[in-house]
Amino acid sequence: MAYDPLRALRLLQRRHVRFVVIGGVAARLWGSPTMTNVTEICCRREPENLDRLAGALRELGARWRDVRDDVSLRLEGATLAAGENCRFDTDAGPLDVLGEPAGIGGGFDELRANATDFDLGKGLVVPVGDLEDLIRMKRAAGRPTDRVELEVLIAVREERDSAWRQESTAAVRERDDQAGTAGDRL
Amino acid sequence: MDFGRLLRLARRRAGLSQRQLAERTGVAQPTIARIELGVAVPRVDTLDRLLGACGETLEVMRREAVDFDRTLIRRLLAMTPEERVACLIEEAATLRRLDEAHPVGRRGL
Repeated sequence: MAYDPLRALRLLQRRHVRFVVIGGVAARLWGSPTMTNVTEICCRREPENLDRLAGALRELGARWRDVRDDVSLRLEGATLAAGENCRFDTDAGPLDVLGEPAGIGGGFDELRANATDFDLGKGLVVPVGDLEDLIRMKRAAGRPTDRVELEVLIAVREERDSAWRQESTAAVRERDDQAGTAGDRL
Repeated sequence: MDFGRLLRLARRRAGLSQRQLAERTGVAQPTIARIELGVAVPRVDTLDRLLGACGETLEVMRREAVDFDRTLIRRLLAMTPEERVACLIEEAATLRRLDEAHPVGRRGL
């Protein structure tokens, strides 16, 4: 079971599942160096979407991770609707599906509204939870590991903002230089 | 901290327009627009008032790891998103190999 988040995300996209990437993969896409081997997504909870998600999970060979082997649960939209958070082992590695992430009162719709689309190459473009929302989720979860990652995400935000400031300062300087050069020519 | 982004997200979460937020707080709408665009940096009490009207607040938290090593973050920020995920996959594979490793000549460790 090699960890391959791109394979899982590509399949979800192909099945037209409405989702937002959250958790460690989202954090990595924003620049967090923290290692993860779990793909976490938040899905829209409408029945049609959960049916599409169930289809994608079946194609990924998903097995429920926190359900005992002697308990039989069919991978169908209705079953997914019964649980808020579902965790799976799949052929592309662990895949966690969250319905109501901690700290995000508006659930999927709020996450999606704030999300940024990331181009992961070869036609794969996925919505990724906003860095501020990832920080809110970590803050709300409040476990010791979450507090450590919270610090990392805050550092990522500071570094990103600093990079943006440098870029905009450089752009303004370049524009001013060009204007000055044009003025010299007049 | 990106105050503009912080305020814009809080305002959106509250479902308020800039004009409505201006009416609630007495802060002029153009000023709110300038803060959200990052053109103006608000005073702390102004930001607290604006966030308060959105149902949120500024919170002072103890930083657990202020001296956090940021070199890896900077390296990742210099990459494309595609490259960042590729690194993650490579790291996961390395971790898996480390998990499967065992001392030569010893068993059960």
